Amino acid sequence: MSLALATLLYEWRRYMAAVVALAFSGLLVLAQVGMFVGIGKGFTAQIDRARADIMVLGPGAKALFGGPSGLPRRMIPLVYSHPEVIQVAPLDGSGGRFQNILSPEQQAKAEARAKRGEKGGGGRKTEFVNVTVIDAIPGYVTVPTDYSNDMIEALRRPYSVAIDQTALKRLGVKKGDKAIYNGKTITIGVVTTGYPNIIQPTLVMSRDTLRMLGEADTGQRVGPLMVSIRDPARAEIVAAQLNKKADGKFRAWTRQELADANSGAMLEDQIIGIMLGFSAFLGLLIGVAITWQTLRGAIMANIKEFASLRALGVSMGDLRNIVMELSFWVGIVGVLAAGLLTWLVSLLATAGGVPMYFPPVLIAIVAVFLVVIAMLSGFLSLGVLKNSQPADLLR
Amino acid sequence: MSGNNNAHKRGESALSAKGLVKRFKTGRTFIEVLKGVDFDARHGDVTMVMGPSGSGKSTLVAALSGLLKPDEGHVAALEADDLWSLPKGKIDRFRLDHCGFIFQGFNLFPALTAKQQVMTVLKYQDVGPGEAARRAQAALESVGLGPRVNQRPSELSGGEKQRVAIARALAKNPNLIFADEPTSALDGKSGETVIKLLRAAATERGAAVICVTHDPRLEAYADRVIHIEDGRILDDVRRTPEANPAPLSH
Repeated sequence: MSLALATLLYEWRRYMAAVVALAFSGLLVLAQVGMFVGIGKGFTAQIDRARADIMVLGPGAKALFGGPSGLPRRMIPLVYSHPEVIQVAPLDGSGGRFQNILSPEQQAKAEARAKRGEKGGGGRKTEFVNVTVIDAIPGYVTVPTDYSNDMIEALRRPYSVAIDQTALKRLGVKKGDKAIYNGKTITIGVVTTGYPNIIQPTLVMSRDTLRMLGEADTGQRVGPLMVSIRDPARAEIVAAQLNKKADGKFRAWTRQELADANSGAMLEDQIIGIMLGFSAFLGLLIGVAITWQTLRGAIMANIKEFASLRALGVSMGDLRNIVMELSFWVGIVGVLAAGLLTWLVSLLATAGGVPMYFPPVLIAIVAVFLVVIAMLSGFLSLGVLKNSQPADLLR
Repeated sequence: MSGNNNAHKRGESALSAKGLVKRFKTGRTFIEVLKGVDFDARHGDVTMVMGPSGSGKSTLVAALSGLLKPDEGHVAALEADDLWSLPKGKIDRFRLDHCGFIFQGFNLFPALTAKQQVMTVLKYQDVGPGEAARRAQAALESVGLGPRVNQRPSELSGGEKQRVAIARALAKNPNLIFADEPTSALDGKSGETVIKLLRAAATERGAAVICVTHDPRLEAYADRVIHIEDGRILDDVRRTPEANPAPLSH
């Protein structure tokens, strides 16, 4: 075991402040990115769990939302013309005003509460909601893989919708309730789990229900196409062939490609990018400042031992290497601590209904970031070694 | 112990210095700590440098060993004709190859076991891990710490710590050993063990041992005693070390 590692392990209390600083720097960045990506995943949960092997978007679109991802209806037969394609269905969506309906008793209770000046739910609620559709046919390409046949059956009934359990409270409804969507009565037929969306609640309904509500796409343009093929293992090859055929008129993505691009598009978003950049900068600043001072103090505490090595002929460069190695190990321990903290926070977040998701690339970047902070701090602490004057030991 | 045993060089000059001057600045005035000191030491000798505190004896050792550059004067040590004309890196290398140091404080890394302390220095001499472990074990056994090689400094007594420091210095097989008050932090019995180890390093391995002390009881182990006061050498006496010196502890 090297001197640096042995020192870190034996005198861990001395280095604790540095490790904790690094851990919180890492948490600051990881938790935020994790939350944003988690929210992004919430938007696209239905797509991530779709049966489609390939998704076809308009050219230039990188994500299913937040851009013109649709394409002309005439592209549907073009995609169908590939011999391995079995099903093609456009994704459709809408949005509008959602209101819950209270019984006269509930209404009276809510009014009484309001009169007494109490807070609390139970009153009338109005929210804007997103609407996405499925085809209410078991196993169809637009149906998410985790929808049971009972759920599909329930959605097949006219004006029946699905709401995620995390949105129930916000919308003030429960399973079986009636509600008003854009002035028309609908029924909460299904409650889903695992489709949180903390920005705007989402209703899922059948394509036929959307049509009866008068909001289905009937014009020249349709939403992104969900495509299933004969052999899902060949998704990459078929996507490439479709892209060749498209000649720039659309772009076919495999599900994985699109999921990656989705989280990427999320981070490219201006405000989120600025927020993340700023907190990464803050994390860097705090991490470097605390780690630097801690390392300085710890090296000062062993300065006589370093001086005795100098006396015995170990060069200054070698001592610097020891300090740099020490800071590297502090960084590694900091990464582990950051991982632990972030895991705890994500448990809390999940319990609170906030989805978090950590792409491996992100974790790798933050890990490298923390080690860089530690090494930078070590670099700044090198100046202390000047105090290791072996002649001072002779007195 | 293997390595460059210099027993055959016994009596040859290992180190010589001429006209060493060192001044320190205190406030606006300079204090001359060394006022033109000439010094030499031979292989196989234990040379004691004695004097009251502030006499310049530690500064002399620092100048001789390449730790503190004198303002004037000339040091020739082993194959280096003019030690202080060498570039810094070469002086470091000279110390790494040839010098062992024993300080009053033990200066051991708290995190390392006795064996690791010794091996750390050997590593920088480009000794392989297997060979370093073997030499560290041998060095620690030679100072009587064979059973305690895996103890950390916090588990060792003062005398044992100093013996680890000696093993750390001896494992390099140095030709020059500088000891600065090696016994003053130790009880009589431990001090006796330490000075005997230094005596043995000179006699058996032909190293030139230069030992700064103000403990008159150590004189019994010396081949030569130099008294220094106010930056000048007062006297320089050759003597025969006693075969059975009186114990340091009373």
